[in-house]
Amino acid sequence: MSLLVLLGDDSHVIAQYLNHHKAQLNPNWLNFNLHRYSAEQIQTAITTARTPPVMDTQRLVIVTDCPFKSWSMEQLADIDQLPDSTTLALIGQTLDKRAKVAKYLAAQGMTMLTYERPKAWDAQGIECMVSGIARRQRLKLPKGAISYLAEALGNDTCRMEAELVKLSVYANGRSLSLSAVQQVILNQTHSSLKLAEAMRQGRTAAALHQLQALLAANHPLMVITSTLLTQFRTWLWVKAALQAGIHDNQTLAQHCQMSNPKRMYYLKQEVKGLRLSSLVQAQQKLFDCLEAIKYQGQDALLTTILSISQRIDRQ
Amino acid sequence: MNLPTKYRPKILADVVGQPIVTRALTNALIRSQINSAYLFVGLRGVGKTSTARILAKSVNCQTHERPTPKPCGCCNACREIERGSALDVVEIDAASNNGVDEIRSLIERVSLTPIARQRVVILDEAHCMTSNAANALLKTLEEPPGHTLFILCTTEAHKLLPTIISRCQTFEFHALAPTTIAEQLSAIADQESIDITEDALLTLARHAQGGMRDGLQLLGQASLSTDGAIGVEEVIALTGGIPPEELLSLIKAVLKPDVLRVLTQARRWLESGQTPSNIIATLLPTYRDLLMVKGAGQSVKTLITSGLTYKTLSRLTHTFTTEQLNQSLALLKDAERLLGSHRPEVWVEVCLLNLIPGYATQPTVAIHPVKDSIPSTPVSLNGKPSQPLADHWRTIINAAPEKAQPWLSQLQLVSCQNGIYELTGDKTTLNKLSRASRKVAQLIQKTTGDDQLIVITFKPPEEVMAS
Ligand SMILES: Nc1ncnc2c1ncn2[C@@H]1O[C@H](COP(=O)(O)OP(=O)(O)OP(=O)(O)O)[C@@H](O)[C@H]1O
Ligand SMILES: [Mg+2]
Ligand SMILES: [Zn+2]
Repeated sequence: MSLLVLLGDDSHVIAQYLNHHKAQLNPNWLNFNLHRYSAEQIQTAITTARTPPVMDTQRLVIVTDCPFKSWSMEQLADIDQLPDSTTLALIGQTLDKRAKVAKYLAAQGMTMLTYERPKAWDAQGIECMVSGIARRQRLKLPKGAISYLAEALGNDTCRMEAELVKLSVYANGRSLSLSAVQQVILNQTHSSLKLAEAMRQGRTAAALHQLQALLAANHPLMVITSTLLTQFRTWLWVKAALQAGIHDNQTLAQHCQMSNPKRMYYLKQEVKGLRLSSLVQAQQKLFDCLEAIKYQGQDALLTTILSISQRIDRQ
Repeated sequence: MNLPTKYRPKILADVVGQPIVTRALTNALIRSQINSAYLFVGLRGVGKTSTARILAKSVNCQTHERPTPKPCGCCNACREIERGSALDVVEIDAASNNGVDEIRSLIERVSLTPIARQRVVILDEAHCMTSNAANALLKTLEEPPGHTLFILCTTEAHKLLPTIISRCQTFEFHALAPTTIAEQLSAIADQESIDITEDALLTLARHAQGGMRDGLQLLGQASLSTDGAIGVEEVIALTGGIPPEELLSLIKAVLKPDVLRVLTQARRWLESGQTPSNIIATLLPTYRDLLMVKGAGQSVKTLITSGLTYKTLSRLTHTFTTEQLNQSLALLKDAERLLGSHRPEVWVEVCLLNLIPGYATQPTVAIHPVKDSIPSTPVSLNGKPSQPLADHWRTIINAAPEKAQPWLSQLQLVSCQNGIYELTGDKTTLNKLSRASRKVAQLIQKTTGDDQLIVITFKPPEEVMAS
């Protein structure tokens, strides 16, 4: 027998792991050999697990949402009598290794696996997942794509998997350019930031083309506008702090509430030629625009973009 | 037969303007690597349902043993799917079947083994599902029956459960560029022997606003309503549009300014059957284009959507300031929203006259009230309106629809002379109401029964104090 304990919040990866097991069962007799129970039914689950499989060499019994903490050893007593043909998978959030139940399960030879999703702010962890899936999909990615994808897809492993499969099917074995990757997997923040960039540099035409592209690709006005506001606000804070004589990256980052002091280097470059007053105005205009788009739709945003990028005075 | 139905794309290669979607799906079919759920997002009439049906044929075509990007279109399976009579291809509209019961019975159906190779469920307007229905569907998507392919279509993806989106491969259908639409229309016009000029096609395409279905429908109408060649004029007449020459002449009159010519143009348009909303709908893109061309010149040529050429627009922009264009655009946008006047001819006149630089009576996108340009004689001191004015204002409020009364009561009438009403209130109220001046004017007109043009100006409280 094998006793599996699957822990963690990444239900998608756990489901995949179980699917892998399921695939080894005889598909014609699944109704007899594949079982799913909730934690209250643990006794029934163990009884089922003790019976030999029907017309197959294996049986898979899954118990979901196991509250290991509140279980007693008596409840699990019969686990030691499972036949070799059975896999019993107990799924739960956490299991304290020092608890009696844990020691008991360990004595039964359990395999404990933990699948935690990376935290939303854990860029490195997310990038790791992206490159793992990409490798499995035999996806050849250009430089910069991993971090782009990590940002676009976030820590939702289910969505990550679906979208990376889409990307690999799109690529069909060929290698992709970064801009192709960006076109297939949209990142609303990223595309709106390109717009902010054009506005900051006073490249009005580029800004208008970018706006048009965003709208054609169904980016909601509200999202575009708030992203622009966030970006201009960041520039404003950085500029204000710099003008107040704060130059050290660490202190600057603290003032601007940025988690990553390394970004300060780039931000400093970005605000270099800009006038503080035009950033103040830009923030004000974008803030007003958030309200105005409710009544005037995309025209309000168009007007705002034009007036910012044309008046972004350089010193 | 109507053109959109007749020219519904039959294979992926027929779907135009969606290169990412068609390439990814073609590869998926060739590799037999078909996901169990897809989400198609995009505006109306850009190919979502068509692509979903093509996919249904592609996985079930009997001429091929495996999924194919080129379903034959003549086997039983293909024909039944095209006719909409295939048992295993279920198309439901969540807008009218949005309850949990409908979704449950769908799921029950889905659990049975299909006769065809794959069952395909096309769920249109998926964002209309109730949350119970969506959760029921989610359960199925988490453990999809191997023989069923789900295709969710929506115009508003942000209204879907994120957990549903996660389970699907998402494809964004883009709004189609006018040139893409025009090319497709041109090919179809050839096949249908419709005689139409290139410029007319582009005008049609622009009017379709990114949707191919609308473009095709217009083309069909144009061919029915015109004998002989279809030119830009015919298209404009069909779409109830305003010819570019008349548009230009109005803008010139606005610039001069020639008030009488503006007024007579308005009258002529109305007499020739133009609706007020149509007049605004023509002016809006024109001012948008003017603003863009003023701001970015030549390089935004391809973004132009009004009937005027780049050259004309560019010449006109020299005579406007950006600020004026901003104001006019905001004003037209408000006018569009506040349409519904009981005196449409006055409404149009007021609207057009307001385009004259310096004549505008209401603030623009900027939420800060404009400085008052019309001379006025406030009859009050310290911002406290004197009695008769307050009475007059009360009468107007009482006559207003109940909904409007609370917000009207937050305003005070500062002066009222020759139809010019000066109102004040606290800053937030003014900010909110500055966009509704046209509505207020209508209200006043209705109560006083006055034929006189009513002009509303909002004054910030500090200015009232000062005077
Ligand atoms: N990308 C396209 N290529 C070719 N023809 C198209 C395309 N998009 C739409 N059409 C035409 O428009 C008609 C309607 O398209 P379809 O039903 O696929 O639109 P839809 O995106 O599902 O719209 P809705 O959101 O209104 O359901 C088709 O029959 C076809 O004639
Ligand atoms: Mg449709
Ligand atoms: Zn066929």
